[in-house]
Amino acid sequence: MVALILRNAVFVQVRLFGAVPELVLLVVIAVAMDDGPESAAVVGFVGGFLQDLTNALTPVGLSCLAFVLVGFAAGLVHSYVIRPGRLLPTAMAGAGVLAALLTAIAVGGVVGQEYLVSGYQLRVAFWASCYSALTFPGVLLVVRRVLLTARLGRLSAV
Amino acid sequence: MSIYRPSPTRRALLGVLILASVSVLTLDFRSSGSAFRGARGSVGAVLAPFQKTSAAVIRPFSSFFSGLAQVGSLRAENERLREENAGLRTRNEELGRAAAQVEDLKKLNNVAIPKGVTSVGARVFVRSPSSFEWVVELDVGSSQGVATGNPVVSGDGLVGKVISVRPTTSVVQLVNDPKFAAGARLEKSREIGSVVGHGAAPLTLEDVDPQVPIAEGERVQTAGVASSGFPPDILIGYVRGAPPPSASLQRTVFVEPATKTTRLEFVKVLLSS
Repeated sequence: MVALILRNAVFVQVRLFGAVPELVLLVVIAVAMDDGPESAAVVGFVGGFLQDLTNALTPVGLSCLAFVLVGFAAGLVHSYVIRPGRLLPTAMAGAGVLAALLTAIAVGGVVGQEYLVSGYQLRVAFWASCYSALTFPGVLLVVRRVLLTARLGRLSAV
Repeated sequence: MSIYRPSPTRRALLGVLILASVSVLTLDFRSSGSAFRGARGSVGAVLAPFQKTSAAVIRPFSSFFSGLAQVGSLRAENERLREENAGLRTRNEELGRAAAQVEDLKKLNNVAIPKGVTSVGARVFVRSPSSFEWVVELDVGSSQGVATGNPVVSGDGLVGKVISVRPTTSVVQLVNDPKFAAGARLEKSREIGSVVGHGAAPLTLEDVDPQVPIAEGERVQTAGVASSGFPPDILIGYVRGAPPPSASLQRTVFVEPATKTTRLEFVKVLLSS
């Protein structure tokens, strides 16, 4: 929810070539890297659903579906990484955002949202993935800290 | 981190989530957006205060940064538009000149030339650099049949007469040259006098009967007297100031030349009469 507020209230004002960083999706990818694909898929479903509710025109369920798929895939891919490089999370986040947006565009095209399938939207998807990749290290740091705190809380409760 | 092996339960979770997403999408699509209208309104209401606050705080900075991001493309576009504008301006000027030339040529083509007189078209290519003589040079000469004394006309009226001829060029003394003089006739009264040039000042019509009434704007034409070399009834100009009839012996009438000699381009030389 915090990511959604930040995206829709703050970053929507600080666009890069018309694109906004996909903060909710970045949280999903960060969860995928830190907690595995299932958690990411669940967070992706909830986060995507909430994000869809903030959109006025695009159908509800579009981000939901894309975030679930990308969250699960990101967790899956990350589980095969033996020695993560410093730039790997950033690259994965960029690729994940691009994949999610392309999925949303493709599915949107299938369900009759033809305006999504255009050169402009593809350009925006590209810039959104670049912008998201740049902001990802900060998101990853915060998500890791939140998840760590939650785990420590659970441990202390046990 | 361990290599992930999805268990059937986990696979089922993914399947359920995908199915739920597709169901939500289908529900929203089938209901044309009405299924989640209430939920959308609620989320919007939650976000609205944050969005309003951030808009007030961040917008001035975001405008600056978005402007920075577009500086390169804006500069390039500005340069491109500037070049395009210069090109269009030049083209517009060319078209304006061409239109004026077409107008001149049309008028020249419609000039009534007296019967038995042949003519040759010419273009003015040099104006006299002197402040004291009002002459121009034409791109036709003796090889085109031009001879000294030939009258020269434009679409508006009399231009002057040829005073010097070379094989391919000729020099024309303009009607407003101070040494120019030609026999002239007032159109209505048919009174005859002499038109004399005065440089930038209007022409004067001299030796006119002081008793004859002359109207402002009356046409002044060539008289066609044999010695002048000009055929009759070529427009010289219009009366612009005539003193009333009097008992004096002299009467000078001011005449505005019909041809603007400073913007001559196409003319006709009348070859024989």
